This record gives sequence, structure tokens and C-alpha cells, in this order.
Amino acid sequence: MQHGHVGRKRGGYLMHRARLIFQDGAELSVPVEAGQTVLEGALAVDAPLRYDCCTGSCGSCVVQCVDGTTVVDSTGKVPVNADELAEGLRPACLTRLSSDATFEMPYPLNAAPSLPAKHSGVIFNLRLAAPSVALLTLKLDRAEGLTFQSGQYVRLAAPGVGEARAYSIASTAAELPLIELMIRLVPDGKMSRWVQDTAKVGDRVRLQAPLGSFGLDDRAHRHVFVAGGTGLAPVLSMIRSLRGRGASALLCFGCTRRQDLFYVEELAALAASMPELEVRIAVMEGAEGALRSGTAVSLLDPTDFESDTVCYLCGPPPMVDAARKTLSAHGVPAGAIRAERFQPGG
Amino acid sequence: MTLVDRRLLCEAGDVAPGGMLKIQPEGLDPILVCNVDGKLYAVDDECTHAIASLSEGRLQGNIVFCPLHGGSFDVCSGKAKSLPCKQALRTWPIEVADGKVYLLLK
Repeated sequence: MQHGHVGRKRGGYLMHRARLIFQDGAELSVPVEAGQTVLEGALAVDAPLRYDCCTGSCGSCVVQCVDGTTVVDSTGKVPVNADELAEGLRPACLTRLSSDATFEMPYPLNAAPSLPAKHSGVIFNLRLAAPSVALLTLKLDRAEGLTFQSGQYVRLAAPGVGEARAYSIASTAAELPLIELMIRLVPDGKMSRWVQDTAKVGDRVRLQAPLGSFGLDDRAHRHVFVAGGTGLAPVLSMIRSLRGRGASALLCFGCTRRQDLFYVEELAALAASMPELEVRIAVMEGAEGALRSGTAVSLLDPTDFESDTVCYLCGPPPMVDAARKTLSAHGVPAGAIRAERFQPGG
Repeated sequence: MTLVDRRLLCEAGDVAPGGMLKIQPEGLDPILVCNVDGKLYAVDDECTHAIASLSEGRLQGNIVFCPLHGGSFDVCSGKAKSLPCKQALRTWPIEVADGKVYLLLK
């Protein structure tokens, strides 16, 4: 990081400026006072920085620092690892400025999705896709005014389940008022128990949407997706929204065991209907036939990447970390890698 | 003349100083009654940021902290006090009479 300009004193406080460059080239400059985080400074002037938890957990506010010196509060949770910090990724909710600084947002200023709002709806469809994965389709009562970007997530509140949980949206905005979610079923998870034992078509639910900043870089001509387990959901939405856009896409999808694998037929049908899409699937245990043995990351090949390829990672943190290392070894620059860091609970 | 609909929420003694009580009046969203140094205040129970019940959070003086992300509100004014909460919490007029707490609906 280069040193930026010396801060100015305003009303006795040292102040720096954060220059925010959005994916569509739009720029904003916001004042960040001493003691303020970049996110607090941006929100104080209503700059549309995406955020959710403000506690370093969700990763929604992670931006790329390209210039300036920053201090990241690491006393609590930090949603990026040491390698990602070294590459310039900064959670805006934990980042303070020691100089003027420039950040790149992984999303456009225009057209932005609608602001997060609370919605209600009913269960439209619910089925087990594998013993450990449920596909839950919700029908919102009112979807007017709601738009989301493929890759974003919702916070779902189910009746009798105390804490609302976050799930990425697998469908696209074109399918609204329907929203499809992939729910990983874990032993003794409250939401898992609700899905397995209680939930039925017609039941009412509430949700908050849209949330998060994971999304396509529409400047790229080739998109490579690496998804593990229910990390498939946001990636699927992104792939579905690529249809007919002229870009090529590769999906590397992996599950741990053969019996955990889901959505195989749907992915085959999707690939058959999208000539620009190639799908590779692997399982670590029980591979046979067209299934390869290994992880989603092991499906990547050095020849998969062109100069303007952007890669998207969603899955358990070890998979995301392994994918970053492999992509780096294949010469993919850090700035061309996007990861969804949110790990849904049970 | 405006008619005021009084709805019984709870007994005043149900909410000790520093305490909170979540009440579900029929036909309304859940309401949180807070006791700040002996004075009662009523606000919406659901955090304006995410979907979470403030009754499961913590009341410190006149500030309630959301259990989900730790954002906070002033229960006297409803004003959001810390991120991620930005939108104010709805406050409700109440009346305490004969040891009972009433919600005043116009």
C-alpha cells in the first residue's frame, strides 16, 4: 500500500477521505473521521456501501483497497484471512484510515438491487435433494419493489425457530415472487429440524432481503465458479443469469460423499440448454461414472483461464482457501477472485 | 373528540427496573416494555435491521442491544444508536393507571 495524502483537521478531528470506485466505474468520495470505520463514514453520508452484520462475520462489506494505509480491527472476528488481507481485501466495518485511501467495490453503483427490507411469504415447495440438503422454494406475498443481484442472500425466519438464518438465493430475480433456497441439513440444527420435522407447503415464513455483495463481474468474458455443497446456491443463480450474455462459464461443483451429491440432473439439463456452460462434478468418496474423484478445486485445470477470467468461490472456508491457492498457482490475479464468506448455520 | 383505545399490556410490577417484557397484543406486532430507572417505555420488539427479538437482547440504562448483531436503540426515543441499526424503532404511547400498563391506540 502506498501512503496517501496527509489527513486534514476538521473541527479538531483528523479526517481522511475514502474514494470508492464501483464496478461500473462510478466513483464517490466520502469523509472518514478519526475513529470512524470506512463503513461508518460511508453510511454517515448515505453512500450505498453494502453491509449486513457490522460485526466482522458476514463479509458483505468486504472491499478491495488499492491505495492508502489502513488499520483493520482484528480484536474480534475478521471475515478475511491473512492472505486476503495481504491482497488488499478489507472489511469496511472493521477498517479505519491512516491516510486517504481508494477502494474498489465488487458491485456496480447502478443498477443497484433494492435496499434490504422485510418480506413475508409461504412455502411453495419443499423437497429433499439429498439426505443432507433440502430445496426450499418460497413464494413472497409481495415482490413489488424487490430486486436482487444473483449471488445475494436472504435472512430467513421460520416459525418456532428462534434465530433467523442466512441462505443464498439459488433462483434469479426473473423468478420472483418465487425464491429458491438450498438448506444444508445438519444434526441438531434448529432450522434443519424445522425443515425436516415441521415445515410444509403453505406454512408462513418471514425473510429479510436482499443482502450481501457476492455477485458477477459483468466486465468479464469468462466466469469460473467453484462451489462446495450448498455453496452451489448463489453460483447457480449467477450462472442462470449469464444465459445468453455471450460469456463462457465453467462450474466445478463438489460434495464430500456420493450420497451428499444433489442437483446433478438439473445441472446436466442446465448445461444442455446453455452451450456456453461446462459443468464438472466431483465427490471425495464414492466417485463413479462421469463423477470425478476429488474436491471441487481439483477439477480446475491450468488451461481453464483466459486473460479476463473472473473466478467465484462459495463453500466451506477450507475449500475457499484451497481454491485461492490453486487459482494463484494458475496465475489468476487476486483481484479476479471473488469469494462468498458467509457460512450458514444449522 | 378523539377516542383513544386503551389496551392492557401488563401489570406495572411485571417489569422490574432495568428489565424488559415482550408482549404480543392481538392484531399488533410484538411490543417490548422496558423499565428505565423506574419509568416504563414501549417500543416495537423486532429490531429494524434484521429479524430478531430485542427482548432476547440486553437493556443497559435506556439502550437496548439487539441479540443478533449488537446494534442498539434508545428505548425512550426509539432512535438507532449504533450500527448496523439505522432506522428508528417505533415507540408506543403508554399509560400507567392503578398499577396496570395500557397501550394507547388512536
